[in-house]
Amino acid sequence: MLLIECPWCGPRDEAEFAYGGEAHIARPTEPDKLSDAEWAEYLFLASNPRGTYLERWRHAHGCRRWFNAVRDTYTHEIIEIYAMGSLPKSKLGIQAYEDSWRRGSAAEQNAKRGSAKS
Amino acid sequence: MAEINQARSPLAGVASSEGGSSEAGIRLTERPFLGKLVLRGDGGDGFLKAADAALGTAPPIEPNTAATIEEVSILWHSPDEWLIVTATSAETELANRLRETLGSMHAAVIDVSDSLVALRLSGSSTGSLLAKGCALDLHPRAFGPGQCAQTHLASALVTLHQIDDTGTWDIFVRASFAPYLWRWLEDASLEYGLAYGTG
Amino acid sequence: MVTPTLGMRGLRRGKPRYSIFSLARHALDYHEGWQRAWRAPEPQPEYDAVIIGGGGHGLATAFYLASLHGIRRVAVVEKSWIGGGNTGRNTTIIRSNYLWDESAAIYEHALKLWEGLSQELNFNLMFSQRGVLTLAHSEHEMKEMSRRVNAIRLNGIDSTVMTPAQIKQLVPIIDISPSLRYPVMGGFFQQRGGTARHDAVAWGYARAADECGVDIIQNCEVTGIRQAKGAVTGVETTRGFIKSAKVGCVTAGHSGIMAAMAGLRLPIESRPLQALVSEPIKPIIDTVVMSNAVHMYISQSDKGELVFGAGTDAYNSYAQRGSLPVIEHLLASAVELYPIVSRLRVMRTWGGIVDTCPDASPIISTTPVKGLYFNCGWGTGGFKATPGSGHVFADLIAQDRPNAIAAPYTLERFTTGSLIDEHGAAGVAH
Repeated sequence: MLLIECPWCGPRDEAEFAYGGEAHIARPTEPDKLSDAEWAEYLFLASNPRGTYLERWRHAHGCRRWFNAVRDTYTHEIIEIYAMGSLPKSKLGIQAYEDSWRRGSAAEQNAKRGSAKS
Repeated sequence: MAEINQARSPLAGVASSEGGSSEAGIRLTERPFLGKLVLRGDGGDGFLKAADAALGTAPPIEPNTAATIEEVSILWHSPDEWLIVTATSAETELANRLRETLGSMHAAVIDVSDSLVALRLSGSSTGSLLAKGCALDLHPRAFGPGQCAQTHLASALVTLHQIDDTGTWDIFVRASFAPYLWRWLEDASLEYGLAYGTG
Repeated sequence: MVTPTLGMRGLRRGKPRYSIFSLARHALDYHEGWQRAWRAPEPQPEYDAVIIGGGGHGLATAFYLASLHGIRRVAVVEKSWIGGGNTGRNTTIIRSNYLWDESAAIYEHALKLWEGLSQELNFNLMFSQRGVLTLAHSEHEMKEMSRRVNAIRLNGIDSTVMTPAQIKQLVPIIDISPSLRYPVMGGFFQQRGGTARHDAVAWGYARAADECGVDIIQNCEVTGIRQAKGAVTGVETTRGFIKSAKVGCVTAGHSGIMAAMAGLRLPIESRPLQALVSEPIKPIIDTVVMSNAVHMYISQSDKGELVFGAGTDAYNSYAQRGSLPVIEHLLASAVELYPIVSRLRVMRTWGGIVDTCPDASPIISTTPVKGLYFNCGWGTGGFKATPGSGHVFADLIAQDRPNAIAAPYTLERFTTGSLIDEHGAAGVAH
C-alpha cells in the first residue's frame, strides 16, 4: 500500500487517490501541424521507465486536487511531491525531467511554439 | 395544490431513531434534513471577507479544519471548496446571503442538502469503531475537535467532523451510500452495544 | 504459413519420450536415470536467431523457428529462470472469445494449437477444456454480450448464451439471487476454453525446443542491442556478446527497456497484475468464471486451490507486486458471488508486470531496425495466446514479414489509427 502525501491533506492511503499517468506531457497547441507519426508519438508512445518516474496523482477521495510525484517504479519509493504546474526540485526528479525524450519531441516543440504566439 | 410534500430521508425504513441501552458504547442517529451547501471560491482575501460577511465567520483556510458559529459549521474540503452545514430549512436564506456578498466574484454556492446524509456518532467507543473502517489516525494525538477529513469509512466516501473530545462525530455521506454505511455502522457497533436516537 | 503436424517429431533428436512405458522402465532404477529435460549450454558466439525472453511466448517462438522453419541455431536468452516472469504468475486461463475479427484469428489460432499441444510436445500441459463463462450483470452488459456472442460465432468460434438458471447448474457455488449489488443476469460460455498448467507450458516448450537444438541460456541478461547500418548485429549480455542478424524480443513488462536499447519507443505501460490462491479444498468449481463488472475471475487448480485474478493496479510498476486494495476489492466480489469462499483462507498472493497497450491488443511487429522484431503488449491476456503468439512470431522472424494473423498487430497501427480495441474482452481493468 503506497502512502502518498497529499500536499493539502497529508499522508493518505493510495486507495484515496487516482493515478494520472505521466507528468509533463505538453499538449500540442497546433495539432494539425504535426504529422501522423508525430501525433502518434505524442498520443501513444510511453516513457514507462523502470526507475525514477514523474507522474500525476489526484486525491480523488479527499480534496480532489491534482499534484505531481517523483516515484521509483521499481521500489515504489516516493521521492518528491510537487505542485502541478511546477517542476521537480529533487536531484532525481530534475534528472528525469531533463533526460526525458519528451523534451525534444515534436509535440513539445509544437506546444512551445503555439504558446509563444499567444 | 392541496398536497404538502413531505421530505423523506434516504434512510427511511433503514435507520432507527430509538432503542438500545443507555449503557451502549455507541450511539448512532441521523441528523435529518440539515441544510447543506457547497461553497467554491479562490480562497483569497476578498473572497474570505465576502464569505465572512454572510456566514459570520471566515471559511477556514487551514486544511481539514472546521469553523463553527451558532448552528453553522464550515468544513474545509479543499483550497477552494467548503461544506457548510446549517439548520433545517436555513440553507436557502444562507445561500442567498452568500451569493449577495460574493457578488460578481468567481465563486459558487450550491445547495447539496438532499445529496448528503448527516449522521451523528457518539459514545465511549467511537474511536475504536471508526478505526475498523477508516485508515486515518483519529487518535487524539493526531486528530482533535474542530478537525475534519474527507476519506473512506468502510467502502463509502465520507466527510468526518470531530465535534468534541468525548468521541462525538458528524459523518456526511452521499445519499445513495447512506443505507450501506448505516448498516455497516450497526454491524461494526455490535461488540460495543448500540443505541439509537439522541438519547 | 506452415501448420505444425505430428511429423515434427521426426525433426527432433533422439530424446526419450515421456510415456507410461518410460515411467515404468525408470521406476525399475528408482527414477535415477531421467535425462535433463533441457541442456544448460554455454552461449555460442553466433546464432541464426536470438530470442530475448525465456517465457512461454519466447520458448514457443524458438521451438517453432527450429521445428517449422529449419532455423536450427537458435538461442533463447533469459535473464533469470525460464517461465519465471508472467508465464509463472498468470491465472492460467485459455479462451478465444474476443470481439474483433483480428483478435478472433489469433486467439483461435492459439486455441487450436492448444488442442493437441501436450501430444505435440510430449509433455503434459494439463490442458483442460473445462469451459470459460463470462457473466453479465446489467442491462448494458446483456446487450453487449449478445453483440459479442454474435461476433464470436460469426467467426466460427463456439459461444453460447446462458441464463442465470443454467449458470447455477454449471456453477453450483454461485449466488444468482437478484438482491446482489451486481446480480447475475446471464452470461456467455465457451466450452472449448479452460486452463493449462502455466509452468508446464514453459517446460514443455523448453524441452521440445532443446530437442530441436535450441540453446536455452538462463541467467543471461541482455544489456544492449547492437546495430550497424540500420540492422541488428547482436545482443550484449552478462555472459558476453552474441552475434545474430535476427533478434526477437519477447520480454513482456520489460519490453520498453529492451526497445530503448535499440533506440526505440513503445506504446506500452507496465502495470502490476496480482493474483491469489486459496488454501486447497476438494473440487467445488469445475469451470472458469469471469466477471468484467466486478473485476474478478475464479477457477480451481488440480491441487484444489481456488485461483483468483482481478484487474491491474493503477500505477506503473516493475516491482512484481501490487497493493492490498486490489486484493480486498477482488475478495469482496468473490465473497458476494460465491459465499462459500468466505470460509477460506488466502494462501498466497503475488504479482507480475503486465505490458498494457492503448488498445489492449498485442504488438507483433518488425521495427525500423532490420532484423529486430518485437512481440509484446499482451497485457493481462498473454498466457492464452502462448502457442499462437510463438507460432506467428516465429513466422515473422523467419520470413521477415508478418503473416495474415500477425499483420494487424504492427507498431504502425498506432500511426494509422487501425487500433484493435479489446478492453471489453480483456475482462479486467486496464
